[in-house]
Amino acid sequence: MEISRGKLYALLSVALLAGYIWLFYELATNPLGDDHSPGVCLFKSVTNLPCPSCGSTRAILALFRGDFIGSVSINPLGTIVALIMVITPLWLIYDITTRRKTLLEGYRRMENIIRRPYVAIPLIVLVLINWIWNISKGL
Amino acid sequence: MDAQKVDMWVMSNGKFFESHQVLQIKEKLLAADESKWTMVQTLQFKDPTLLLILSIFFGSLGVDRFIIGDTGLGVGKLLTCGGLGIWAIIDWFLIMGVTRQKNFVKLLQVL
Repeated sequence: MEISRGKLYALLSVALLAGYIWLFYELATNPLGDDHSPGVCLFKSVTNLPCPSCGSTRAILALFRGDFIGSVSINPLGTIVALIMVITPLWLIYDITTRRKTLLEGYRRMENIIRRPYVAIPLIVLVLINWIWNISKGL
Repeated sequence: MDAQKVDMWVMSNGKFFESHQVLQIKEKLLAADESKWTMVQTLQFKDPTLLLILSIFFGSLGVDRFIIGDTGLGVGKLLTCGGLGIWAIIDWFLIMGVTRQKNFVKLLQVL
């Protein structure tokens, strides 16, 4: 069962909106990203260990300040999330205004690519390495 | 297909589907050609209970979504700490239904 266009676009819109609200809330209350409270991460609240994507918010806030190296040293996934958060809304608006489904096709193509074992296994290893790095950094 | 075979199959595989789908599955199996039997028998389904366990323990890493084949959504969950924890909790309640739906679609592809 493949995800439908309407469902994917609604889901992405909600996720992006929530992401931007969260980001601006953090920007307003914690602009330097030095607050290390567990916040909303369920995994960290339960186990007291950072999850693979813990620190993404701090990494994006570092990007806002123009500190790219600092951002990558907090969590490289932050850069990926930032790229997604910049590209997807534009793509979404383009698709909705022109009534196309290029984003849906792109999403499916991306899914098919990362499902292949020779892509999936290196990605899993990278995420695990990043996770170990997160734990050793004590994010 | 033979009614007795179908009954046996439905009895042992009923847990993989929604209850409202079972009747439909039974009718479809009865109407299906005997040659489909081997295919139907060799199908492997995902166990909704296993997925619920995975969702509870590794939901914020997106493992549950990866396993049922929603790779894109899995990446989304992984990159956002399970959708800021909210999506991970919502999925505890959705994942069993989604798994059963996926199993149903898989069966329909063969029939």
